[in-house]
Amino acid sequence: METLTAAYEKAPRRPGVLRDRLLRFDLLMALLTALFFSLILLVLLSLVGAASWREVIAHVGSSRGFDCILLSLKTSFAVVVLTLLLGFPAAYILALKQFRGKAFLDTLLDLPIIMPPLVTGLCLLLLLNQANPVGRLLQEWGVRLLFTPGGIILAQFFVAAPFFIKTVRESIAAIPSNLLAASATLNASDFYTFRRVVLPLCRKGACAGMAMTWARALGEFGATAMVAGSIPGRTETMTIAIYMEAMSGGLGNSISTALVLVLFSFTLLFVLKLQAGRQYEY
Amino acid sequence: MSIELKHVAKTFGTRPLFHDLSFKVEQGELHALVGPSGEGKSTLLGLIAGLHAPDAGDVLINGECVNRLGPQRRKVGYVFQDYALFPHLSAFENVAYGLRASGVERRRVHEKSLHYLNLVNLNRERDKLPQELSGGQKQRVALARALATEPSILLLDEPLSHLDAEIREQLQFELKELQRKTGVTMLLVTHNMTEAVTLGRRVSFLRHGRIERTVSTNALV
Repeated sequence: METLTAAYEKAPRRPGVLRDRLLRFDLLMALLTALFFSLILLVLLSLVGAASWREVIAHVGSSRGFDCILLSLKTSFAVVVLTLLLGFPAAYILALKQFRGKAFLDTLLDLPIIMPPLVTGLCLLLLLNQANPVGRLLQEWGVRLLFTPGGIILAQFFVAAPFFIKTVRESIAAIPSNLLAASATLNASDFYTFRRVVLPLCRKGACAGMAMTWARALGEFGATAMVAGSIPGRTETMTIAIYMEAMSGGLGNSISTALVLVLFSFTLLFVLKLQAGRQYEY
Repeated sequence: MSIELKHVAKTFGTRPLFHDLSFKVEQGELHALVGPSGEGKSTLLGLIAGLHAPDAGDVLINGECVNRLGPQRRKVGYVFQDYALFPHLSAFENVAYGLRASGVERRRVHEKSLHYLNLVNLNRERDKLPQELSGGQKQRVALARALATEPSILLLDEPLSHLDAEIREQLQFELKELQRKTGVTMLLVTHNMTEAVTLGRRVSFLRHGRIERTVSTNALV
């Protein structure tokens, strides 16, 4: 904004009028920005204001509160690991390779993002049901996903992984192709190039994608509830506990869990943002 | 090693770049290729390096058809127009990159990288990142990086175009010296006629997708 103002100041005609207009424009933009952040803060403060720290500590220390926090952390961490394993190859292929059906895959990737989580949960429920061949096959192999923490991981992964893949794909696509070509002419294999050029240069995107995936997995509700239900101590995640407690009159516990969730998500996003490192200029 | 293109055709999208292009660079020669912008000079280097595949015709290195060989197996060094230095690696690590990728032993990587940085007078800048280097220094790192893997052929894509006159002259001299010292076959692409004549032993003119003619610079001078 400052540069733009400086450029206008250098303009020969009616500099005073233009400067005034720009200042007014800056002021308007700043006010609207302040309004936006105030709204976010207002929402958060309503939660913080309603919480009693004594209650929060007591609830976190209780068996039900501790179990749901631990379960959410475990499953969301598993989702992040799974996403790193499967998401990087998908992002790499979508960013760098040209093939038939790429547009279809691209759209498919958007689907879990735009699909209501309840519908996603319903689809997973139908897939894992005994009536479905996949569900039957898993049952034969002794893999039980419905109403288990495994089901939670699957539901969260399905909903959250596309955020990582899309962010990393953009980061990889932004790497100039001549860097990859240079690597190839320097005898580097595709794997070596991936390890030494692609990974370091998409670190910022990967950190942002990881943060979004983790936060999305932590906050997942609809799909998880459909696939895993709400068995306290077994499949009750933080979000499900928040809903169940609020609906059954335990608003204090609901607020306590929500506060832990918000604090953890914020810390996670903030730390990963700091870890992301610099953005290289190409 | 010699380079030869025989009846090469290449189309990008719907735009035909080359049609029946034939062209030869002799072993140990510093050959300049001149042509207006957009004529496909960089694509031609890409065909030799293995970054693009010809639609028809053959690319021969030392008499052997390399159409099916990937860039990693052609022993061709490439200095890109915008240098293509890895922004997250220091000058030293950029030079060492190809050696490490080739599995050269750690001690040798260190020795060779220092040797080639020394050759381009950049030992003092070895720990700097590319964005901390001047245009001329980046150019030299790119050269040292391409030479470090000891390729039989070095392709240079408008290597001096971003530099100011004084540095350009100095690097022209250094390039000639490097070629004399290493004996590597060099193909230099440029749109600058003076540069082509100053550097090349022979100059080829690319126009309308074909080599219009090749002349010895002795004849031009």
